[in-house]
Amino acid sequence: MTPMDTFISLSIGLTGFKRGALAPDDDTHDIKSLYLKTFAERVTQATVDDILLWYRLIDKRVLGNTPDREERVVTVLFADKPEYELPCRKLLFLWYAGAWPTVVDTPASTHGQTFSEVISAESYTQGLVWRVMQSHPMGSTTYNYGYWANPPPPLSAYLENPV
Amino acid sequence: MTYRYRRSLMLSASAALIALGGCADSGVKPEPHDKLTRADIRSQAALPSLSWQIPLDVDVTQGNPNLQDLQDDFDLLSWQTFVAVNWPAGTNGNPNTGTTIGANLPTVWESWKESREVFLPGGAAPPAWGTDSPPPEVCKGMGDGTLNLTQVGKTPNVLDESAEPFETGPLIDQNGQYVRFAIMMNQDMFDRIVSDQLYSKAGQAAFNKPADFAQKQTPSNVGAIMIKSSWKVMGGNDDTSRFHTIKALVYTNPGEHEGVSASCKLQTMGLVGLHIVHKTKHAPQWVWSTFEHVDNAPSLGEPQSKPSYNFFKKNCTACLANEPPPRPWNPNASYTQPTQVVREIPLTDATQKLNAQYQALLRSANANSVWANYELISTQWPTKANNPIDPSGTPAPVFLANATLETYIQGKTSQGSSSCMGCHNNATMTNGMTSDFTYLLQRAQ
Repeated sequence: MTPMDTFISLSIGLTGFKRGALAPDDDTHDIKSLYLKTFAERVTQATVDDILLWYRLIDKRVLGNTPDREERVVTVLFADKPEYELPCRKLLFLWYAGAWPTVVDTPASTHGQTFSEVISAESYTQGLVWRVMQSHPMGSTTYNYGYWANPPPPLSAYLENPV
Repeated sequence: MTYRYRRSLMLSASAALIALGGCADSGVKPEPHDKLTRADIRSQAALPSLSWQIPLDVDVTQGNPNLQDLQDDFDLLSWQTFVAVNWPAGTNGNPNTGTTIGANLPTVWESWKESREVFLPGGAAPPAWGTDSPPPEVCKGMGDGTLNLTQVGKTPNVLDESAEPFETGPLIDQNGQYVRFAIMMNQDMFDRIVSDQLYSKAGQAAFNKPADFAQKQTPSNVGAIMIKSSWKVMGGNDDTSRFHTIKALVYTNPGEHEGVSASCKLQTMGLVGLHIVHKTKHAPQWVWSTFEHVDNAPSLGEPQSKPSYNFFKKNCTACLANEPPPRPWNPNASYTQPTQVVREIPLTDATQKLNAQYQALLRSANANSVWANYELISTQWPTKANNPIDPSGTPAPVFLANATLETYIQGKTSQGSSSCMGCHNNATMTNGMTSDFTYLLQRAQ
């Protein structure tokens, strides 16, 4: 597995989206490369290398090629290496929001606040949150005129297909 | 159906030889692109011969193609189509199969129907294919014996538009003259508009469903094709031998700009831009090919290698790039400040390679071929034509602009920069129903 292959498997386990949505064969946006780069810049390359290494090692131990395989690998990863959970949660935020989160701990009852920085115009439109909503980002849509008169495609279509 | 799953049964002979040559030791036949890119393979193989036949669809000759392989195949389709539609026309407007492309002769597409001939006042039915339409009243008596057009038995082409999409502004050449535009359609598209009566508002209302130009393709029925062209007035220091030129009635439409009066001139015009849009079996979002004259403008960040440009002044520190002229816009003005055009997305290396190959092939057929002075900018095509969550087909490349046709909306800003399929995905008829990626049907009266 290349680092990108591992990164995508990890991301599938984190997000619940299929490979066809995160890394389609004909990947016109290639947002995954921006996200891997951002991940390394924000949590350090060494940490990313370690996370991906541990993911690959655990992947070899996990049996069965069931649809939830990546999710099971992630579950074991966090059990074995709990220190990787926070950076992976930030990566999860990045995939969904197209933004990198900074969590600031405060004594308030909410135990902190999350500030986020949108990485790029494209990361904004490629955020997975829009697909979970079966919708589109404000100011950008691939639907055609009059789409609002029809029900959206099923959620499964959004989980499997690129936009 | 994606192109990934559409396999050609046969590799080209040269590609197969290359692939087999590379696997003689292992006995395992690797996919060609494991070793060589599609562009590499093509650079070692002969291009298809120049032909008047419009290809029906892309030919994916490589197993397991990646995105670049497919882009290369679509770029090849674009060039084949460019050659075919620019093939010299015979007296009936069909390709003259007894000659080859090269000389500055009337082309096949120049005998197609102009939009103004199809969407008539009062929603009248357009004259049958092959029947001339009279020019605008103000153009009558301006001349009807143009070199190009008498040969195809047609009244002179009328260039009746000077505005770019979304009223972003006119394009002004280095001689201070407005660039003019025309939109043409082939007979397969025209016939569908007529049979479905989409040429009038009333007809569209009666049709009462989304327009659909899909049709069974045969060698004699290539499917719907639209061509949008841009032309500059030949003048100043322009070298007409470098352009495909026509004599055209340049009509200033008073409806385009407020306060502008109708006028008409018979002028020699040089082709500077060409969109070719083809609805193929595997591209319901159409295939969008765009070409420009090689002297139009430099690309951002690249050397200004030409002695001069059609739409760019070298060493001009005061010129603002890609800024439209200030209003009011008046195509009748004798001189308007030229537009300083820069191509914001440079051509890819693969497309440049293919351009060089095709330009050499065209020069081998005719050393003075004007067509060797044109270049493919890129081809936009649907990577996932039947994507249930993206009716635009998830286009590649994401953005595409012709510097003469979308001068002011170049770039890579979502919903703001030019994307043929992304924009035309929103096109509708006059009744609000989708119009199958063409805004032409909005012109119905």
